[in-house]
Amino acid sequence: MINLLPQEFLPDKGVVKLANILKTLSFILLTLLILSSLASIALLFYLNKQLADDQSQVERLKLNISVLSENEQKLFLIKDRLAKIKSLRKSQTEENLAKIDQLVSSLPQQFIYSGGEIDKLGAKITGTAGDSAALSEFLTGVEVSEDFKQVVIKNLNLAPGIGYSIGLDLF
Amino acid sequence: MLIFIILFVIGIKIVLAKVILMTDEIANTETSANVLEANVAVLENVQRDVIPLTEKTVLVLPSQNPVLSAISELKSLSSARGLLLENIKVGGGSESDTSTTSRVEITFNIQGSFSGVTEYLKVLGKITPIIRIEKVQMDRVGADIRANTTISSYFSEFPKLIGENDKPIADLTEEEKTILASLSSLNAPQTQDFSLPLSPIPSSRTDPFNF
Repeated sequence: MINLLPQEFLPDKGVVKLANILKTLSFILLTLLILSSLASIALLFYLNKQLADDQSQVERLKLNISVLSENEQKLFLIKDRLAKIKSLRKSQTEENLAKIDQLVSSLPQQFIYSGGEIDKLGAKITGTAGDSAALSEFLTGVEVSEDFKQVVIKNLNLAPGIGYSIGLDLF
Repeated sequence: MLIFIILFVIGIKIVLAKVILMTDEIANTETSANVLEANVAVLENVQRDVIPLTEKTVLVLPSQNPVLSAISELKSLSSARGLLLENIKVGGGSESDTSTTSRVEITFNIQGSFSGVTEYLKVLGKITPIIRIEKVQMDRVGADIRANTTISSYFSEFPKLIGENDKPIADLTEEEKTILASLSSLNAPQTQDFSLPLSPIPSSRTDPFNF
């Protein structure tokens, strides 16, 4: 091919080189733009699908829960009742009653249980021992028993013909 | 070329913002799904062993004053043991230690042999509705023992609110399971005048027990 342009009109070699570089760069950038656009569309499509899947899973689970809503209410009710029952289960009075029952069931034959009082703080017990041996046996029984940390003799009387009447406070 | 660069930068910025938004939304949705999945698992787990005991827990701690049921139990237990039950008095209701539980006091005299009376008092701890012995005053009457007894019976309103369904539902703890197991051994009352506060389809989650 013959170039008929005068040599002085020919562009500078540097300018031509720069133009070529810019042209190549534009091409690369355009390709990159197209590729990244495609990748972005694909990524957004993928994320959108994942979100839709997750949302449908949530809806399905909510539907399951609504089917099980009666169970949920009952579980909630049970937990509420149990939390309250927990604080009411066993009273100290009942434990003291069991201790007195144990004590009275092991009384000597000559000792007659007259009565007493049982509450959450402790117990009072009164009785009559026919003789000093029965009284001693009773007191030994109370002493060896580990049910009560403190035993206070409130009264001790000797009535002729009846025996020893005694009153104890047990804690 | 400058236009390409500007378009590229703007495009990247828009796509990045959208991606961040969507990944956040996906993370939130997945968290909700995990919570709901755990909730479904809990609700399915309790179906067999726990849910059938709902009525028992309501019998033990009813929502309304159980004094009639308690007195009925006192009478049937005493007659079954040949003990003399008399002088039954009912005190006023009051709030107990826990503000949501109410207490009603019942006093009565029970008379019989010492072993009969103590056995009777012990059995009171195993009946429904739940009863707590407050005080026992024992006096000898001839060959018998008369126990002037004060007991408390309890009741508590049903809960008014239930959690949102995207919040985790807690399964029963080991302690709660132990209490529940111990309740199953309690004697059912002779008269059962209770109903569960449940409808098949709750109208509102905020107060599902209010009808």
